[in-house]
Amino acid sequence: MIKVKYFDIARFEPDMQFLSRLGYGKVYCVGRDVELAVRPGGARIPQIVASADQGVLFAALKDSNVIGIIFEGNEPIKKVVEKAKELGKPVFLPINVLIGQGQGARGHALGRLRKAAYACIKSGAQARIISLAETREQMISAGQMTGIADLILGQGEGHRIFGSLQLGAAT
Amino acid sequence: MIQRYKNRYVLVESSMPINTADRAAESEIMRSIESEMGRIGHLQANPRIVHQVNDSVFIVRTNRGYERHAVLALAFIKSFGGRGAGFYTIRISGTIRSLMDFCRKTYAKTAENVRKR
Repeated sequence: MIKVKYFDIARFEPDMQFLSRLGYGKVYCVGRDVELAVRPGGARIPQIVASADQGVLFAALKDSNVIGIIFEGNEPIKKVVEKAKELGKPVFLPINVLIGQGQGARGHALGRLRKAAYACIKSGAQARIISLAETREQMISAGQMTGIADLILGQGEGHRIFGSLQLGAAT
Repeated sequence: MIQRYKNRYVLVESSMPINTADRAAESEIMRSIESEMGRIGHLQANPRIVHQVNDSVFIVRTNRGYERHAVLALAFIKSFGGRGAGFYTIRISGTIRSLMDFCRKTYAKTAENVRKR
């Protein structure tokens, strides 16, 4: 089992010195360390499946190569969250919908993230925020991630969705 | 009784070189922060750029208790001078001295160029 303290998942390959300055223990790179897929299967590296379909997400959770799931549009499905809890797989909450948005769109995105985070916490599933940054400019530091986690759940509660992650045997 | 105002200092790294001695650049950063925090939040936090460590690293002073607001505001700023930019908060401290010690270790080569504004 792998335990990482502050981690993130990005779509580009940042240099290690930069990441250590930002305060991350590890940043997984999409394409190198993990694959972002719309359905499970057909990959040599661990997958994260992003979908809004209940059947696809159920199949993804049962696949040993899938390390976590993303609810497309951050709309949580209760049965899937309960299954994720049962199998010990995390639900990732991408915050790139918050960063770089106008203030109106940001309020809407924050509401949906909050709803998804509460659904996971309520049922005991692991929920973790990730940036999915496409460029260096879109990255944020670990301190800023903590601030955003506090913004989603309320002051002092951010540690529930940003902090250590336990990945199972898949990695 | 004379009350002493306590501040918090935030070490900020930007993705592009920024000369904060240039009034136009400084005011653009402040305008962006104010736009994210709102007028009241900006007045409460009262952020100011107090030191430039190197081309892309500077220190922002805020009122104690509002530093998290400034950190979040900086996270949401993604453009500067019409180009894409990122502002990363590296460390928060109660004194400039401890931030400068951290800078000497982290940015060893460029710490010699520290200039006080």
